[in-house]
Amino acid sequence: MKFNVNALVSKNNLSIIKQLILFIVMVFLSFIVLLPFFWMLSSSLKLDNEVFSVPIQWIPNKLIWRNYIEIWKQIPFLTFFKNTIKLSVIITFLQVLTSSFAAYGFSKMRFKGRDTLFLAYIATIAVPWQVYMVPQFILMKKFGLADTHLSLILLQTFTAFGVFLLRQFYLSIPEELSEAARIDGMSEYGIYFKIVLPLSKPALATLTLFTFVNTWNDFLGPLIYLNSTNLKTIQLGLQMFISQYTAQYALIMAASVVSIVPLLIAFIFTQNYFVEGIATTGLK
Amino acid sequence: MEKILSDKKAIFLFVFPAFLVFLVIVLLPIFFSFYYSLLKWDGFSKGVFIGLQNYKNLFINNTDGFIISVKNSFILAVLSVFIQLPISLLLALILSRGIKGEKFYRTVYFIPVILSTVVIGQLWMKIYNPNYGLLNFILTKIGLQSLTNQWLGNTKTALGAVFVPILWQYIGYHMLLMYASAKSIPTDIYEAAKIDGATESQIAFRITIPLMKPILKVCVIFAVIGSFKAFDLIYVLTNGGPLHASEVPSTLMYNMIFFRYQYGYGSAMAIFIILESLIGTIIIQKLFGKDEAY
Repeated sequence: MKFNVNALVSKNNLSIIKQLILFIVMVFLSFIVLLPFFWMLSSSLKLDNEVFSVPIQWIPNKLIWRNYIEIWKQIPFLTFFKNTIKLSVIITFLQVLTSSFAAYGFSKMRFKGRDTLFLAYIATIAVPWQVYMVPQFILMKKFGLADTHLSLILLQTFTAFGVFLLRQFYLSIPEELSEAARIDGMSEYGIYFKIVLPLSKPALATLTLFTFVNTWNDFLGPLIYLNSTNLKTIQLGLQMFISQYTAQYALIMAASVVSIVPLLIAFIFTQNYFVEGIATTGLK
Repeated sequence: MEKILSDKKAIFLFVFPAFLVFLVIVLLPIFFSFYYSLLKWDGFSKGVFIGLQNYKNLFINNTDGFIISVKNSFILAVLSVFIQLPISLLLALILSRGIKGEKFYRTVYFIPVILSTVVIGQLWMKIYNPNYGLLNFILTKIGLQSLTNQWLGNTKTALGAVFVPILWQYIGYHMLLMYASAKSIPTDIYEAAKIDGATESQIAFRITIPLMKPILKVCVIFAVIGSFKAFDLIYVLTNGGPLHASEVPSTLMYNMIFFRYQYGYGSAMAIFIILESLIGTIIIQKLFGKDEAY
């Protein structure tokens, strides 16, 4: 009996020490990860010449809040902001829709040549966009879509990445479920909408978030396809603070801070869905 | 019969529309690139068909540092799989089993992914700056002055210096994928294991990780392919220099096409990246075995 008690006590101590170490490591990692964020935040409240001062000054002498007003005045930032929201929302919605649809075809249905076709899809994930962006642009130009938002939307409505990601998630949904539904006479669409989609909320949330972040931060795409100022996005707008002779780094940082606010909101919105999934559907 | 027919229709509807868009917008341009790789072409004037000459130049009379760049991308792939992914997996496992502040850490670790490459590039340049950079500053402070370095400008350290930010930035990305996967494992499995007296590490290795296999495969494939086509941060930090020390195939290809106007030769590099990634993907698929998780 005595031994047992001893063992219990030391086990508790051990777990407290373990938890303490875990806590320290997690906080330390948080600190490393948040470093660029702090730097961006502090730079956005400095004068231009202070941004690159030696050594890094984490807290500015004087907080220049004016930067956050200037960004809206110097360039048509509001227009860029609206354009970025429009593009990101539409592209994300379409991409998640087409990906989940195709992923269902590739994971839950059997047809000839399925795996070969799928491998061809994956292979294209490997292709750097720089490789085919020029032929692609020429093609879009022929369609008369250069300098339109539609071109960027069309390019990104479908990605092999999304299909691959969702397919892998769908694979972990027990096959028995869809088989049972099929025997009960449910159509493929019924299985997709009533069984697979509700069970894959964490996966859909992940893809939504990744796609939203990617389109939001995309620089090369808008750079190539958009010429008119009234169509441009935030990432292009940031370049406007850099002229031939000077660069207003403090304003770039302020604009960058403003531009990640919607991303943080998107993250907070989607993350509630991560905890849902099979765990809460009472699957047995 | 009607059943089979409607199944066929369903398959067609599920797979075909996406495939059509994909065919026109992605496959067609890639096919063009393959054709360009057989030309001597500057991108503007008329190209001359030269067969496999570009590919020969890549490997046999190589003077552009292509072989170094391929080697570098392999190093990055190995580091991603054996250093970055284990860290992501550990974090995902810790977070998914529910610790205090789960939501907070989950948000914080994902932050590097949402910052734009330009901001991250600027910050790391500041960290590596030989005169006032944070890294040299810390080394001097702790008495390791002899180790201070021109991190991005030195052929010996440039490669490591560009890899660290890449590995750092994507830890949160893989972590989130793995976390979402771990979270979709039914909780009653854990409870049953707990009742049977399984320890946390036993649960992780015997239950969670095996059930996460389809997503772990995604992560490994993305990490490897991502390494083979890594571009953004390297381009911002060193543009492959100095003297090709931090060169990867994509940076070389980009410079070849857009600054040296060797469109055909650059396309050959691109096709190589595709082949390399395809072979890598097939090998990983084989290593992981069949996909069926349950």
